Parts: sequence; structure tokens; C-alpha cells
Amino acid sequence: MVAYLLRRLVGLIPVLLGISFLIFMLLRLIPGDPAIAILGERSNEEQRDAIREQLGLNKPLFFDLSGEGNVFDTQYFTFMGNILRGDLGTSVLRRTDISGELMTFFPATLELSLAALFIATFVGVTTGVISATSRGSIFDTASMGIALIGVSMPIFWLGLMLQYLFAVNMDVLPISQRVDADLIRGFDAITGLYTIDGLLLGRFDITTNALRHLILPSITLATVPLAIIARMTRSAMLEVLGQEYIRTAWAKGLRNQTVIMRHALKNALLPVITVIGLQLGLLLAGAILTETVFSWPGIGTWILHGILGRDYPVVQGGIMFVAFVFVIVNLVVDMFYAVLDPRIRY
Amino acid sequence: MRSKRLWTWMLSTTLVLFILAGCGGTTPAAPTEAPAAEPTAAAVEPTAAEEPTAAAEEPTAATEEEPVAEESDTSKFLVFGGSGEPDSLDSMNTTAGTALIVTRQLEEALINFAPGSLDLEPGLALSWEPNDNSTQWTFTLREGVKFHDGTDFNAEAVVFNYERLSDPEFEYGFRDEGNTFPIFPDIFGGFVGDENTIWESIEAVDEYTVVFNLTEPTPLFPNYVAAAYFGISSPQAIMDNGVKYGTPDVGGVGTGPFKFVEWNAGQNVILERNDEYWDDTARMPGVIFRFIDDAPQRLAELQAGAIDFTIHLSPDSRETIESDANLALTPLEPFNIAYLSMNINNPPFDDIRVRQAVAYAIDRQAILDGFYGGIGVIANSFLPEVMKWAEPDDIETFPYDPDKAKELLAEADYPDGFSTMTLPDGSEAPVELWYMPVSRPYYPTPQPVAEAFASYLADVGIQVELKTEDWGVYLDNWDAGTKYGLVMLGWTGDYGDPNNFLFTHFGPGNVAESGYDNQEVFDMLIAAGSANTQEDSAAMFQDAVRMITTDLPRLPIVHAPPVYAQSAALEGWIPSPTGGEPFTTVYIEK
Repeated sequence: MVAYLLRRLVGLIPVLLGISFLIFMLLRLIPGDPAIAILGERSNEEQRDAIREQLGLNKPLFFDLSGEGNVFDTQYFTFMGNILRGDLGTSVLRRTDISGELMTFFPATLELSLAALFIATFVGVTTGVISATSRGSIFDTASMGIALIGVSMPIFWLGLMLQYLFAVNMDVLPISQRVDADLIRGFDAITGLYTIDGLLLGRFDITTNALRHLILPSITLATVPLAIIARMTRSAMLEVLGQEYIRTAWAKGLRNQTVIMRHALKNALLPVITVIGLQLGLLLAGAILTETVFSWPGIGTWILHGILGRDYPVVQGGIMFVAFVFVIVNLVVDMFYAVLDPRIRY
Repeated sequence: MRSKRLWTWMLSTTLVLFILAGCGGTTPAAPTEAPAAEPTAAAVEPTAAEEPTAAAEEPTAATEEEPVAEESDTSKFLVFGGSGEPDSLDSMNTTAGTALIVTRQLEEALINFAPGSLDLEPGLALSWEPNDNSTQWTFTLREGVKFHDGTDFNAEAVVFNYERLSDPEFEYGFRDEGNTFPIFPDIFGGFVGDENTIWESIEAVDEYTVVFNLTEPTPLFPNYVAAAYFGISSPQAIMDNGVKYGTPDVGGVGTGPFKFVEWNAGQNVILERNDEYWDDTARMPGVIFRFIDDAPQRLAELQAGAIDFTIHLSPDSRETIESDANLALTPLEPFNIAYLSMNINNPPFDDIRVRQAVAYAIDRQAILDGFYGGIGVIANSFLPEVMKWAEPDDIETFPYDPDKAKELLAEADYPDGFSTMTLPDGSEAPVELWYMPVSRPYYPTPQPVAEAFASYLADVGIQVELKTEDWGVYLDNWDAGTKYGLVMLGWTGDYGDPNNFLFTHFGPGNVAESGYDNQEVFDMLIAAGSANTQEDSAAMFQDAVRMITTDLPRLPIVHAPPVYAQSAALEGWIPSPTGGEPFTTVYIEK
């Protein structure tokens, strides 16, 4: 197991290197001049040259072949060198430390993703189990139909509709943001997850407020994974329910619920847990639409603004971080799987 | 049937969600209530209890001196829906409107604009006097004003700020670490040491008198100084924080009516009232500036009550706002220009008759009615209404007249119109009409407007191909003069000088996409900017405008105010045409 883990960790190196190269290239292929994005439409060429120099954007991309300076004194190697030293750089637009910004934006995405995953898992597994046990019933057909819609629904559309209905029309839920701004003025976050910080610091008003803010975006974000989890649970359950030991359990005269919950669900959940784990990675990396619709100050909107403002360090650092989290989450899920299923040995 | 417990499980989940949803919305105990419900819900009780005095509440303007607690809801911070995140809270080091609306609350310029206009009023400076030919300006400063950090505002502080801005060698400029002070060379022609700069020096004569020395007569100098870019910061804060001054870690430290509290990247900037403010203190305890990039999102947030006032909505949201009793449109003067540029270097646009034909072919009133909700005015020159003193009365106006357009085309040897143009390399290409990929107040909906232009032009026989590209590239190519045919663009002014509109478009170095390079116009604009009196200046500006209209390299389309809106309970907001007004007088009715 340890050997496997080490092998996997070494395997991450080429993956992350490849990602760093891709981000670096793609970012520079986007048309538009970062100097203009930073200085605005009214700047002149002299000012733009000055900012390019300050940001190192006048250096060659990969190798300095002019023979004048160090061959590796280039944009890519400077970027990689800094990352290896744990220095993600400074935001060009705000001049703040990127690692520090990550610590405020990442918890926002994490809180939203966990809430969404909680809803998706809870509702998805429940629906899947009911559908499987009442296969062919109206509930089964309807819920699987809804699941299909859930997978195919444009997230931003759903988000806007929920906003319009619950925040604008009925006025029962907040329309956007993580928490009311004046509530957390001067509030020192511990974990950055407001629901938890509120509990830790005894500020229950913040926890309640943050939970209310979480409802609409997490429902929006949950739709796709919910549908996937429901369908996955259903098929896994159906497979398990056809097994002989289930028939034995029933033959023993056990109660329905015991058979389903203890004997069938426990085994059917194994593949579902993998899916859930993978969904967490996807949610963390892919909450950008939901975050945009709900002005959620998460890592997705952060990177999006970095892209729009040609804030190269933010985009590079942000995507590297997300990619890193994604591969680590996947690794943890694989390891977790071995723990749950004694048959799996690495 | 078989899985009753599962059903219960699901139902309880739903129930929990609904309880959470309901929580706070109805319970008065919850301090976490969305701001949405507050103004309306909270307003009911006090007014019912105080019914007899309701009438006395009306003359709010006259009772400003009274304790504010009686009329305004002082429990909450104002929430402003800004159109994006500031890049810096150091006013001298930014040109972004999203930043200047915030810095205006923190750092004040020496001179203020009167509410809603470009008229100058004493601010940190009590008075200002030019010498005979306006090359030297003496400012007398207000005494007893303190910066938010407790240090004194005085002549020394003003000199520090302007030297930091103007002199690349200044010790605390931190230019090698990224400060650029981009607006200074735009307005003064260059930094200290640059050949074209009109800036010479600034000196402190005594504790409360400063003298600005300029190399050219500059009668409009006070108008420059009043621009939001020239907010005065605490020298101590700049020295202590270096290049970090103005960033989220530090914020801005000035003399303004509000003090910096925090800047939450990606979310908001929070300011609180400066209780030691030298003038009437702000009516509300603080302001939260939200960053909401998307105009429909700002409207939705306003409808939901999550923000109290907002700017730059799309023109079609006027109807939504007017039909909502909780919302109101905020009137303001247009201070911009939308134009259609014609590259005069590529035929057939090199022929003035063709350019005039384009002008007569387009029904600008219909464009104004159709795409701006009829709010705004047709532009006869680049100068908006508030600068009409610099526009000649007898200016040629090009009313909609397709027949005249056809006549002019026939005279120019295009009796049936045309569909191609000649590029600099001599090749023929279809006539292009470039529209912006982004919405700006002057062109809130560029594509449909471009389509309308195209259809008007087609009516007189000019066939165009609509084109657009990434905004950054669009501007690059515009600057480089490599856009051909017809190009849409616009401008929003930032200070009360006609050259802010004219020199920016017709001065040397601003030839760009039109290819219009007229030395006579350059000279007139420079002379007008440095005339000894405003009357002389007006006459020269008028001559320049006349000549530009005769040559018509860019067709002015409209001056259209951006759509601003507010909650109906909000009072006292008078937006400045330049887009940076103090929120001192703004309050929410209880």
C-alpha cells in the first residue's frame, strides 16, 4: 500500500508538469495584451513597456537563446522555479500575495462544494435506493427522468431561475454572496468556512446567515452530481439486489429495511463512493458557473477574473492549485476505496 | 411501501431545507435577515407609531443639520452595487471608474465639483488664484483638517502627493515596484523630465499655501485638479506602506467622509463614516461597495434588495425599474460621446462627400429612441451638453436625409453606392463596420446598433460587413490605426475640460483609427487649452470644432447618460457626470 502510494505520488509529477505547461501556453495564446488589461484603455506605449518590464513579460517564453543572458531566465522557468519554492507570486491587479488570496477563495469553494455534495449524496443515494427497490414504479420512472433533466440542465439557467423565484419574487432567501457583508465586518475567520467559524466563535447569527446563503447555490451546484449519484446508486443497487445473498437474507425472514440498508446498500455503495469522491474533485474545480451566478467569492470566479484581467500569476497559480487538489482528491478516493473494500489490495 | 424510512429520510431533508429557507425571513429575532426585507418590513412600525409627524418629515433637505437618527435608518451600511473590483484604492495610481468611485470617499482632491455638475467648489482648498497668464496657480488650503490616520493635512502633504505623482525620481513613488501613475502624463503631457510636459513644480509657500508652476498658460488647471484622480493621501500612510499603499492589505488613507475598513478580494470594499470629517459628516454609518460585473445581475440584486443603489444598467432595464414601486431611476447628465469613425486614408472614405453621405444616411434620432430608450441627446460634436460653451452655435448638424446622402454619393462618383474599400496596400476589400464586443454606457448594445447602421447605409447603397473581435485586440488595432472602414467607439469624460474630449481624439498622438492628422486642429486645441481666459479659450475651441465637423473624420452619434438606479427608500444621491461623487448625503429613509 505504501509502495503504491509512493508510486502514485511520483506519477503526479509528470501530470502536474504537463498541466503547468498547458496553462502557461494557453494563457499566452489568448489574444489581448496584459499591459492594456492592467493599465486600461487610455495608457500609452511607454507606460505599457514599463509594466511589461516590471512583470517580466518582456522575457522570452521558454529559452533565452539570444546568448546574452541565462538560457533559463525566461517566463516559464521563473514561474516553475517560484512554484517549486511554494511561491505562487503576487496578483498583478491587486498586488496581494496569491497564496494569501487562495486561503480566502478556496474555503468559499470548499464550503459550497461540500454543501452541494452533501445534498447530492443525501438526495441522490436516497432516490437511487428507492428507485431500485421500486423498480418500474412511477417514482422510479419519474426520478430517473428528472435525473436525466438534472444532468442536462444548464446550471446558470437553473441558478438564475432559483434566484428570481426565491430571492427576487418571494424574497425568502438571499440572492447572492456567502454571507451579509456587514455581519462579518472585522470578523476573523478561522477555517474560512463561515458556517463552521460561526459555531466555533459562538456567532450563531453568522452560521445561520451563511447557511441561508448556501441554499440556492448549493442546490444549483448539486443538480449534476445528484443526478449522476442517483443513477449510479440505482444501477448498483439493482445489481446487488439480484445477488444470491440478498435472496438468502430475505429467505431468512429479515425485515425489508434490514435487507436493503444493511445487506444491499452497504455493498452497492462501494462504486457510488468512488463516484462521490470524483464528484468532489469536479465540484471544486467546476463550480465556476454557479459561483458567477451567485457572486460567490470562490476560486472559480477568482480565476475567471484573473483571465479577464490577464492576471497571469492568479490564473497560473489558481489553476495549478485546483489541479493539485483534484489529483490529490482522486488519490485519496482510490486509497479510501481500498479501506472500504477489503478485497482491494494495492 | 417497503421503504417507509427512506421516504421519511427524504422528507426530513426537504423539511430542513425549507426551515432554513424560512429562517430569518419571518422571525424578527433573527439579526441575519437579508437586507432585502429590511427597508420595507422595518419601515412599517415606526411610521405607524409616529403618524402625526409624518408630514413634518418631508422637508429633508432643510433639516440636514438635525441629528440624522430621526429620519434615516442608521442601523445599516449603504450597499452600493459597483460594476467591478477596483484595481487600487490609491486614486493617483488608477484610472478605473470602479476604483475612483471608492477613492472619492476616502481621498479628496483639493477642489470639489458641485453636486451633479462640473462647477467647481472649495474643498480642501479654500481658494485658488492664477497669475496673469495662468502659468502659476496659488492655492490656499483649509486649516485644521486631519487625515484618517490622525496626521495633519497641510501644504507639505499636498506637495508630497504631487511630487510623488509628477516626479519619477521621487523617493516614495515606488515606480520600480509597479506604481505607474498613468493619468498624470495624459493630463499634463508627461512627467518631470519629459519633453512635452507642462508641469514644472509645486512649492509650499507656508503651512497652508501651495504654488503650482506650469510651463504653459493653463486656464483650466483647477478643472484638472478637481478630477477624482488627484485625491490627496496621507504622506505618512504612503511612507509606511510603500507599494502596498492602495492594495487590499492597506486600503486608502485620506481626508474623505469615509474611512477604509477592509477590502475582501472578489467581494467588497467596506468603509465606515469618518466622524472627524471637516464638513457635514456622512448620514449613514458606512458603505459597502459590492463588485458585480454583470449588469443584469446588478438589476436582480437591486430588485432583491441586496443592494441599495447601482450604476451602468442596460437601457432596457428602464422599464423594469419604472414598473417596480420599490425602485427608482436616478437622473444624471450625459458626459460621454458615442461615435462612428471613418478611416480617411482608405478610399472611398477619403472623399469628404462620402463621409457626409454616411452622416446624412443614419437616423440618429431613431437610434437614440430604439437603443437608448430615447434618453440622451443627438451629438452634433464630441462635446456633451455641459460643455456646450465650447461648441459653435452654427455647427452643421447632418439631419437624417437619405436623399441628400444619395446625392452626395452620386457627386462623389458612387451613384449606386459601393461595397468595397481600398486598403493601404492597394487591394480591394469589402467595407467593414466594426462594433465593440463589450457594452459601454455610450454604446450599451453595440451589435444591434451596428445592425441598424448597416441597414441605414444599405438604404443609400453602401453595403457593409459587420465585424468584431476580442476587446483587447480591438483596442490594440484601433490604436495602431489598422482598422479600416467604419469603426464604433466612444469615450466618457473625467474632468471639465473640452480637451478631455477633443484633444483626446483629435490631438497629435491620437490619430489612431481615423487617420485624421490635422496640424491646424492640433494648434487650435493647444492654443485653446492655454488661452489666458475662458472666453478666448471658448472661441478657439469653437473654431477647432467647426474645422473637425467640416472634415468629419468621426461622426458623433449620441450623448447618452448611463442608466443608474436606486431603491425607492434611498435619498440624497446626486451622481456626478464624471462618475465619482461623495456618498455623504446619501441615506435610506426609515
